[in-house]
Amino acid sequence: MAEQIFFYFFAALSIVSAFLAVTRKNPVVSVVWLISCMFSLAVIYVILSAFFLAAVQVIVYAGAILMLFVFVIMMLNLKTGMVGQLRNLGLKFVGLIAALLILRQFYSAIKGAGAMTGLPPRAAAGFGEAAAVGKLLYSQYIYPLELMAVLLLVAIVGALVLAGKEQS
Amino acid sequence: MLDYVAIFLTIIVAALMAGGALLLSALIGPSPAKTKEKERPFECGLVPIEEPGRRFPVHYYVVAILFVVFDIEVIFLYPWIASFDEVGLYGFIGAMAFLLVLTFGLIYEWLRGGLEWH
Repeated sequence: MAEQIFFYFFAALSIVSAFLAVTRKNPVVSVVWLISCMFSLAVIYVILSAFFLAAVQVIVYAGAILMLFVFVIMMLNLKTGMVGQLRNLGLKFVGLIAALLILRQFYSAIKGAGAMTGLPPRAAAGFGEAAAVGKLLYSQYIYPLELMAVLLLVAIVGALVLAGKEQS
Repeated sequence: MLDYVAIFLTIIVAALMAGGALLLSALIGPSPAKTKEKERPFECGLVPIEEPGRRFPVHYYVVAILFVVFDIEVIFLYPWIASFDEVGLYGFIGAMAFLLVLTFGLIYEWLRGGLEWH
């Protein structure tokens, strides 16, 4: 019962925050709403017993990634109302296609959830904590982990090539 | 789950304390007339020289993105430490390979001068 109250409250909060993040004219205000959205998602992860993921969501997304967003806003020196001018017809078309694809995903997810009956299975003790995640990540999913390292390497090289100093 | 309810309660109490202090001072404190001078942003008593929204040098962004990358690296190491006894040598070799790939990134960053400010 308490879980349901928490779920509905934070699910609603995440949707409202996401909506406000998209519609605000001042980009810095948008980022603050995005932090609220990320935090609500972290609470939902806790309800789903994904404790490690929830901590990472707060530390990495609400902390580090949103900081990057603020840096980009300051770098571009976006002022209030400037974002609206950047939204041209091509971007709106791309947005429409993306929205339709997400709606299709929602439809199949809701259809799949409707087919489920009975109580959801209880998570085992320690499920979703760092040790359980590590046990899977460093045995069964070692290959994706190494690919992650390559992805992060690409991010380092990309940042330095795009924005770093010229090589002398 | 119960631990997280405690965190939630802490957040509620923190919000109530901060909000309550503001509310109480607004309710029972004196309310001076709002002048243009008082509405201005306070900057150590000095008159503001320019708008705060200035353009940032791109170098801040490079430092930030490199920070995020190594932040994620540490995040991935934490589950390994937590399950160190269970994953054994296989996990150790996997973690070392993970670190090795990112060490190439660190060496490149170093040689490229990404760690220096000027």
